[in-house]
Amino acid sequence: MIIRHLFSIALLITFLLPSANSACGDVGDTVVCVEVPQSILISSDATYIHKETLETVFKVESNAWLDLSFSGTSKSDTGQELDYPRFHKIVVDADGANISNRYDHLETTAGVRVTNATMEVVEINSWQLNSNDPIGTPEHLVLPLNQTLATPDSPDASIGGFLPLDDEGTNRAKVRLFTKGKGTVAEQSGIYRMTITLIVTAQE
Amino acid sequence: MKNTNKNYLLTAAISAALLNSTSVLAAETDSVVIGTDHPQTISVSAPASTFEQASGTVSNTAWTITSNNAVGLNFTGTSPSATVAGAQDYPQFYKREVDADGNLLTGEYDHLTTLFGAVLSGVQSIANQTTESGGTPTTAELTWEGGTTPTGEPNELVAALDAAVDGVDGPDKKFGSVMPRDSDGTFTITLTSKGTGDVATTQSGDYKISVTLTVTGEEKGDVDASEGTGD
Repeated sequence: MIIRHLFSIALLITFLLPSANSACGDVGDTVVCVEVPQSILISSDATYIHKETLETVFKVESNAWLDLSFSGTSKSDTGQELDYPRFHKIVVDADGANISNRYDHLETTAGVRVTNATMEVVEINSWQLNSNDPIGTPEHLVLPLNQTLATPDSPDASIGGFLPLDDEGTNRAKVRLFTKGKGTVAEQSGIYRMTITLIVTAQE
Repeated sequence: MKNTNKNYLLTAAISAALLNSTSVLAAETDSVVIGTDHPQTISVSAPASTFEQASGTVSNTAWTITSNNAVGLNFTGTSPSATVAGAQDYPQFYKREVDADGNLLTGEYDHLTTLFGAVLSGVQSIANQTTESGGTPTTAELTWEGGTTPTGEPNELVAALDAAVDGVDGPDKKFGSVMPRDSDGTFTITLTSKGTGDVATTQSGDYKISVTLTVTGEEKGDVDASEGTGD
């Protein structure tokens, strides 16, 4: 009896897992409906350096269609909070001490590509990339979902929804964020940083 | 049949419980800090050579340095001793003596008493200023050995980085690292030199020196390229 139960459980899980949302199966003489919840899991994989461009890879696991957007903050040159990410650093003096409310920033560009996924918009899987050279502005990178009023559109409005494909037994897409910072001699040398958040939303 | 239904319902309940134990989210986020290195660059403008200054007067030579981080400054130069070319490892006004026919004499040099001073301008800051971070260094802090009224000896001018000679700080030890101004990454160092001769013992004519300014990158701040890259 126990073995029979376990076999039934295994059979039903196998039957239900490939499908998302609700699933009904006619099992014998009883209709059994079980809602399979959509799950999303993101992990930032690594950042790769391609000459002047940095490529940050997020692995996105899900069993259903997704939308993506980005957010981030940075500092103006006088220390005020900006609602988009760009490479910046605090200015230091000749002794290496931070000077309060004085920041330098690099001209920052960004681009996005989604791979290992079925795309909602056929053959469009990238936003503001010239090959792997990012040409989008940080302000446009953080446009909300479906934002089409700006030029260019938001990443989501350009790329559309995506469905992760199988990757070694897991439905896992890769969201590749390309960024580049350019500066002149007027920007103090050193490490410039920015924090970017990837937001993956279930497409209902 | 009743038992079969019961089994399937039990199976469904267990399955639902198992599946619901996974993460169920309408949205998921992940943040990364991305870091990129903006390298230090240095360039130095070649100053115009200065000629035809009368003995006892001063001449000013200005170098404009362009860099996007702090630098160190030191001077070098050589000059002949009274008899041997290049024997002195510091710059001093000199000329080869000539005979009555105007021919250059071998191994005979005359010197002027030589003094140097230096002034920085257009800097963001210097490491050895006493004012707080973000403050402006004083005129005295930007002046080495009298500045435009020079009092520095030639061997003091050529002191190594962060070194003193005969109790007098060299220019680099005096100023410390120099941070160019923010707006365009430039600043200027003006070297004032003065040669004074003894009319009785130093032959008249054109005396010269050759001084070299070496600018060394002394990058300050967060320069660890590995930090903050990746997640």
